[in-house]
Amino acid sequence: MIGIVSYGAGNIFSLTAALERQGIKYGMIHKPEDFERYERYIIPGVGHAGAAMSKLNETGLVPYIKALKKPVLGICVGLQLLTEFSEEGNSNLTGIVPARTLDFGEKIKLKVPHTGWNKVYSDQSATELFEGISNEAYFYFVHSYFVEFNSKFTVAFADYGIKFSAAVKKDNFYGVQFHPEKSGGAGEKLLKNFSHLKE
Amino acid sequence: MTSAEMVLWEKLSGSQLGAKFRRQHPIGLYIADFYCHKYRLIVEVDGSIHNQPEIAEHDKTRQTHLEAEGFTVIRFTNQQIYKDLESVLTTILSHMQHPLSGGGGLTKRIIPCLDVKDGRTVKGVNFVDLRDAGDPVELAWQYSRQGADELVFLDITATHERRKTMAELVKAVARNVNIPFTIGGGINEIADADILLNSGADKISINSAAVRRPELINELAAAFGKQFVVVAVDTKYVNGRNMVHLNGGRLITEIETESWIKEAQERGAGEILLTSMDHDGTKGGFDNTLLKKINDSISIPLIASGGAGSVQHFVDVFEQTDVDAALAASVFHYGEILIPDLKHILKENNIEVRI
Repeated sequence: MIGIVSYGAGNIFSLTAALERQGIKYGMIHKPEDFERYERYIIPGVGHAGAAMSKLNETGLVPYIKALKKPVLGICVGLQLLTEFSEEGNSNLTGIVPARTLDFGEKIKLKVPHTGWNKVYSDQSATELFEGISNEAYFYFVHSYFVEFNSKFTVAFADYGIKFSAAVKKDNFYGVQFHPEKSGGAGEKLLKNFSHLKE
Repeated sequence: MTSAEMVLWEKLSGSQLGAKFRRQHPIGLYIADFYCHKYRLIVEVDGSIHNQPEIAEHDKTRQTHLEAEGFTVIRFTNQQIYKDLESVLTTILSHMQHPLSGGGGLTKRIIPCLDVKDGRTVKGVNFVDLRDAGDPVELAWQYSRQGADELVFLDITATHERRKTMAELVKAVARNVNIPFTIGGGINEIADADILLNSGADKISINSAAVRRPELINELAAAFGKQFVVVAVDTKYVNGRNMVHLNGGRLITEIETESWIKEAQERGAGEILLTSMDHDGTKGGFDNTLLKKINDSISIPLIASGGAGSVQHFVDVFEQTDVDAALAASVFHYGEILIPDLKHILKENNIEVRI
């Protein structure tokens, strides 16, 4: 069963709907004792990374998240929260994954937000998250900030004027920049894979 | 230079491929065989020495470092250059796309638009397999199965009757459909948008309400993020100028379309949906002249709307204007254009689409 960290950053209706379509059971995490009820965790998130981090800090759950040994999946801003720092509001984040979240605006000449379906090149040998998903599958992105490409922790990348992390993995912590709950069959498969991930 | 490098250099020198290449160009600690700065593209030619395990390992490490810095590295063997220079050049060219012609693998989007009234679709729909042609949820599901990239629902009665929300419909769509969708119509304040967001909408579209009170754009962007805010603009050509219209094109304003779109962008719109009322319903093609002008002048995504009648019209709008997405209603609803066929033809025309 998946526990979704509840900290008030954005709507999770579409996420829970996607989990329900896949027959994946879930519940909400509001306080530290809730963690032990679940085997997998999702950190959702939309909007401003700095604001989201403040909200997450207010819950007091951050030390417990850092101590988790079971698989954790950050989605969109939830991924960015796993990194050390974001150029969005020059915010310090959890630092679970040693990488930075950067602003597209100053680095590329393309339109921002990066909106739409982009090709994701996944390293199937690095993670089972993309098992059964084509190596160049399309996923749906909407974001203005990105987690920098890192040869150690990036397990899938996309290219938008600059190569960036579509998915990262460090130990039991995973994060995806795209929205699996809005990415058609490929996204649903990824959620299913996460729910089956070995610990 | 090795002789294979000489052969390649004869084709790369003097900007023959459309951009300047340098040979033996230093990048950090490395020296690239050939380097094109405009596209941050490194071309390496590997002689037989690169087959040795240690050298190959070194090449791999170096490539990883360079790619982490945002460079693209492509490698060819001497044999490829001697025997198949043409495909070598084709490969190099494929990495030399204009910085504004869409980035990486980002696709152009195809968006069916559903008009909804009292929770039912209104325009005639003529799908073979549909049990209930008026059920927007079933229709949305069908479109997502066909390969639509996104959906737009417009509550067409909203502006006149001040209809507030379609929350129940939005929830039903979000439960059943696995692609993003936008809701428009009757959104006048933060509270309207908040309900739709919490019901599962990915974006909201505002039109008349933004023209009447432009601060609404700022407020929505601040509350929910730019990516949530689509500003829809209906335009009509009047006395030599493109003017913003309200109420489905019935009411002219004094605002020029291009300046309004720029203002919307500055205020925090994350995307523009531009409908040409002159082209809408004609099935004569999109207003490519206007769309190109607008697309070139903004830095947020633009959705083209109004005038789609044939597959070629979609090819034209993407080729001629480089807009990010194209929206249509009746050609899809009546099955005149099937989305899988449309995408197939777009792909044949080298337009990046999700298939």
